[in-house]
Amino acid sequence: MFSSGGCLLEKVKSEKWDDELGPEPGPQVRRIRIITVLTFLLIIVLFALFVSGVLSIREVWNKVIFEPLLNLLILVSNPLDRNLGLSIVLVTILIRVITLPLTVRQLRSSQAYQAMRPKIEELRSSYEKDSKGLRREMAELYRARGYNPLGCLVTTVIQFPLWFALYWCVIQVLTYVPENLVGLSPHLYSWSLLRETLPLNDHFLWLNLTQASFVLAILTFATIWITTKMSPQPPPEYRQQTSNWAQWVLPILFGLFALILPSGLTLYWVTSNMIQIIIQYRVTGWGALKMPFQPSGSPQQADKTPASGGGTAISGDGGSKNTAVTPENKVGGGDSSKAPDEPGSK
Amino acid sequence: MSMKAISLALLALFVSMVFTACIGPRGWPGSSVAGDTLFVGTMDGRVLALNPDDGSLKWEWQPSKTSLANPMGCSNSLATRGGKFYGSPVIAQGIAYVGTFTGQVYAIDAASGQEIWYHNINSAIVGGMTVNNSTLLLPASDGKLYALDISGDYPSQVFTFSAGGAIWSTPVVDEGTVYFGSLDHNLYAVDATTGQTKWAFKASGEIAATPLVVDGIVYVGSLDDKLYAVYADTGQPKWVFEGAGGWFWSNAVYNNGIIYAGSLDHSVYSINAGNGTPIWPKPLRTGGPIYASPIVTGETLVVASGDGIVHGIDLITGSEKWHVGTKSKILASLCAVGDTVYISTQQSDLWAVDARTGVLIWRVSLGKGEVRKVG
Repeated sequence: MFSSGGCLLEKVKSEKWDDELGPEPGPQVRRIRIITVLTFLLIIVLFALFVSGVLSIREVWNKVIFEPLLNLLILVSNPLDRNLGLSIVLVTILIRVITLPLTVRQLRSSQAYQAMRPKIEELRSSYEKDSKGLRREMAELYRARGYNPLGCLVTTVIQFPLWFALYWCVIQVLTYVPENLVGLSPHLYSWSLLRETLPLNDHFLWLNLTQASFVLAILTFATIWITTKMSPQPPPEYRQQTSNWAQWVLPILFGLFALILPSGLTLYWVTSNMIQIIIQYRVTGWGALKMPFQPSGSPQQADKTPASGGGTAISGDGGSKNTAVTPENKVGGGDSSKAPDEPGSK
Repeated sequence: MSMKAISLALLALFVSMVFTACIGPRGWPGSSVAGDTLFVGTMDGRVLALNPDDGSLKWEWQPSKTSLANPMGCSNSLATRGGKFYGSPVIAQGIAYVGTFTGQVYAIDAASGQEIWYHNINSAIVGGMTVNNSTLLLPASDGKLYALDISGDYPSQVFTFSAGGAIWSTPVVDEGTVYFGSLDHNLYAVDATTGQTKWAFKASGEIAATPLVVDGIVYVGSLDDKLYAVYADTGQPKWVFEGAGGWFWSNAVYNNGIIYAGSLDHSVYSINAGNGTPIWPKPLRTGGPIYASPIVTGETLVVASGDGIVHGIDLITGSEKWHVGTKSKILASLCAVGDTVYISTQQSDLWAVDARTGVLIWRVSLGKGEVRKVG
């Protein structure tokens, strides 16, 4: 949920990497372009319908996203002795599984962008006073590498409403405020099982889900900090340019939020972040996170940030070694023995 | 725009979305009349005594003790100052009693507005309170019904009854028995002096509405879209009305053998109290969910719908006689004296309307620091 790290570009996999201009875009590139165009067409059509009054944004949000999730959350809790905490955990896992392909794509995209940074910086310095030329060269670079600058945006646009809807569902079912319980009524399906299930049991483990929890605040801080540290990193020579503020601001901010928000919400954050950590580990490795129990330089520790166009591979301990970029050094793993799509080994 | 600026903007957007969770309780304070005074709770936690004829202010009270406020107002443990009311003030023996969402009960001298005592039960009070002789019955969100002896200078506990879920319904006392619903789906009948359970009737949904007891039958709506009639002595069901398409949040009213009940499906139902069959050919459809308990005055049933419209309905035919738009959501129970109905809105306005004609008699704004006549 809180993954960060320069997600601007979309890398379409499986092309062999070339230090200079790569191969022509393959069928996957065309596919992603078609998906992007269709997504934007859909957005335009929806926008037109909203503006013309045919559709109401709130209605679409409620009927398509919010209500199915809300009813699912209540339904799932039924066989769990109406336990809201368990239901939050299970539905969060479900949502993360459904959005897994998008999350993976986003992570790879972010990773690929970081790998391209040397080339981009190089172009920027070469075309410092020629913005037109820079744009042309950048476009050529993207085309050559099979990147779609909008691809990542599309994945985020799809994921974000789901996460936010689940967040709102948790708020709505925490019915300690009478307004919340009354507000549930118009969103419930007419299944009697749902009415029989309410109210949900808002105690989970030692937690009263309607009250803030210090332990969950600590866990929120820790999990966001870990996901931030695990985010794909730029090559070392560019890390200086990356401000460290985000690595601390987000965990501290959300840790503080967790001190005042109902723990039902922070349980959702913590669950979501833990799943994010697992996914990130499998896709991009530990990133800049130093694992004390792993020997320095071990293969497990290696950052899976791909070799960049500038010919740099990054070791897990932050050190670097210059490596000639070969077609085998693909996005998806610093370990060149792996195929690009293969998740990182444990 | 730099990446940092974009990141900050996105962060700000995200934070603002996070804090949509911090919609704390707002309350829906109602009003009640005793003697020549109209007592009304305000959205900001005060109690006002007004002249029912013209809405002029007699006195104003605000809590002497406030719990630690959390400026963010997010979670249950820290949310809100002392003073969000969900019920109407209860007046007995010259004292007005109010309970707050933060779990405090205040006794206020009805004549002067002076605070007499303060008691903390540490649990949100959402349902209205009831006075039975010298006992104050206090429903709480911790699932307990507190019975406090209020005959002395300070309240003392008579008994505490524990239900399986929050009690948001106002207890009703009839012939030595207290009836109330709970969010644990049960309608309880409890001895008014000892707190011993007489019976519990389980509905298939939560019960937030106040029971109505008439001629040995308890009528109560539930959040399972049903309205139940239960024998008061045994707790056995007499009939169940299943014709609604939404929750029965507010309590039903009775007049001349007919039960009138509003539902969150926007409709008002008239039901034969004897057998549970509908009286009107079709329910009266309003423009919004009916949260506020309706009221019968003279020949008119007055119902406020969630869209802020107050409807005067003919009791016999179910046709609308008049309606008044308040332009504000109405959640608090209506209150009537004679032919005048008092309506508290969520915009802190109090309306006095003639129930026979729908003509506005007066309207005051109950904003902080003033009672301002409007219109």
